[in-house]
Amino acid sequence: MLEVRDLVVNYGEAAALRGVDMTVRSGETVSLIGANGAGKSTLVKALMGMQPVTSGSVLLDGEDISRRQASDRPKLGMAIVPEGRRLFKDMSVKDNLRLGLHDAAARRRGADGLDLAYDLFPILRKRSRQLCGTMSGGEQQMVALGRALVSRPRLLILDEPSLGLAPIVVAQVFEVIEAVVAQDVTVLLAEQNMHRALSLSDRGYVLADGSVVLEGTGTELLQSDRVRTAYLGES
Amino acid sequence: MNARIDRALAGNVGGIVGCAVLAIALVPTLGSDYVVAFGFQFVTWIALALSWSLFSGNSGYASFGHGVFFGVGTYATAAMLRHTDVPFVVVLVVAGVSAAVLAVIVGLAVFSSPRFAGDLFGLITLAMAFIVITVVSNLAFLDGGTGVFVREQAVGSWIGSSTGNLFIVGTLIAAGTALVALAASVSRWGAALRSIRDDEGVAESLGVPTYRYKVLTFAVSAGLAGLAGAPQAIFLGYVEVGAVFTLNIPLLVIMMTILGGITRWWGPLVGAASVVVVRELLLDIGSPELSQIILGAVFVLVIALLPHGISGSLPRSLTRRKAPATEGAHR
Repeated sequence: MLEVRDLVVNYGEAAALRGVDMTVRSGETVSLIGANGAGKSTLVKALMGMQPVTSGSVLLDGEDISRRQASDRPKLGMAIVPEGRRLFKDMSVKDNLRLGLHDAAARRRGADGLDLAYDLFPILRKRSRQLCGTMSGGEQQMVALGRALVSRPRLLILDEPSLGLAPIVVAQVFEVIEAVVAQDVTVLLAEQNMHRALSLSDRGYVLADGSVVLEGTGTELLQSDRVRTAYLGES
Repeated sequence: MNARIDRALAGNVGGIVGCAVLAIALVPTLGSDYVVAFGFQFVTWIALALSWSLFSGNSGYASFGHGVFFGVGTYATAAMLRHTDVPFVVVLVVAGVSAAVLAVIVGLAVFSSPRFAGDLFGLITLAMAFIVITVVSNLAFLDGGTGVFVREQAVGSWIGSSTGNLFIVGTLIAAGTALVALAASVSRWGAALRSIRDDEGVAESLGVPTYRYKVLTFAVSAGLAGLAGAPQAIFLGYVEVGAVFTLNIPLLVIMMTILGGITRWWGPLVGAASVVVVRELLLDIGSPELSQIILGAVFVLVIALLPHGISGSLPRSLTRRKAPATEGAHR
């Protein structure tokens, strides 16, 4: 479904991605792990069209989308839960979720409307008029997940969903991600918390210093010593 | 749920139309020209505050160019009256479209690069004011540096025959602007604008074409200001760049909007009404300097005490009926 070929992203002189190759097949859950600054977020932003690509390509079902506008992503069936959640803080839960259905193609797919998010997180129905800026980190993460899921994306990208959350909330968030994974959504999960990420993934890629240093199935990577060294930047 | 939203929406529309009809019906009873003139300025400021907030309040891009769009409407009107014999309705359309076209040109350029986001946008709209003033002063068919007498041009027409007629036109423009502001508060379009204010990058990833939305809404906001400028040309009677393109307009409009608050569509309306009334009351002091200082002090005080403005500080119970409508009505 998603194929990244020799993707290079430079920030001015500095190279953030040095020719990344990656494949995500339909229905798979793939983890993207690596230390802070390894290039996970840059890769995710490039996939979403939020970061200009220097060279290489991003193919979605064979079509190169690397130069298409970020605002085309819902049309292509992609949705993201951005790093740090990035909710519209001055808006209510309901308005945030509704923006997940702003795009016409998103509305056609997401025929269940906001009920999809409300059924997944019943607390959001009760809090639908609360301003998101006044909610806890865990509740905000539910809104961010709901906002991405209401459009029933074919490819869901999660960028550091556990970042900055209390351990008990992280466990809750991963329960939800597991529930999402169990459906027929294709998931790409960029995450520093590699044990949690890999244990629910079919496959994983380990990024270090802008390159893929290791790839394999979730269990393979979990048992590999090289993952730990790559993680620490000793590869 | 939907029925409740529809009822709240119908109530808002009814309120706007009702107020406009009532205001217009009262014109013959107002008598003194002074009261009618005050009423005209009152509705003009409401139109200006609501139209400014439509773009800047919703999107978060604070524009200092609202006086320019108002002035372009005024000058377009002056030029049309001077050089043509077309009916006033046509003049109005030209005034609005001229301001909107200017906004499209500026918007297409300014919004094309993320470098101009934020504070730089405000500075650019300020620079636009100086450019437009220079151009208008040097074009003979617009001004040419001497100012333009409009009063004689309008003599004999319906619009020029009484201040009451100007008030009617001004009220219709203000009511129209209020309907657009209401539409923005309940529609997908308005929600998208507010998402731009909070986080443009995420808005884009959710499929909001932010560039197009910003340019279009900036143009609608400017067009409405241009409309408000049209009757002003006749009201003033004599139009000159110093009086029409004053920086007072954007500053007061920003003040009105902050005072009224942007969490409800009618916030800027309340803010405009408050400022205009307070300014009028302060006239009795007899010292314009002192009244400016008092107005400034009141403004600072309100910001400190009511960070969300007047409309955002009312108890939730007073606004509950309207709340679902302001949250957007598409589902």
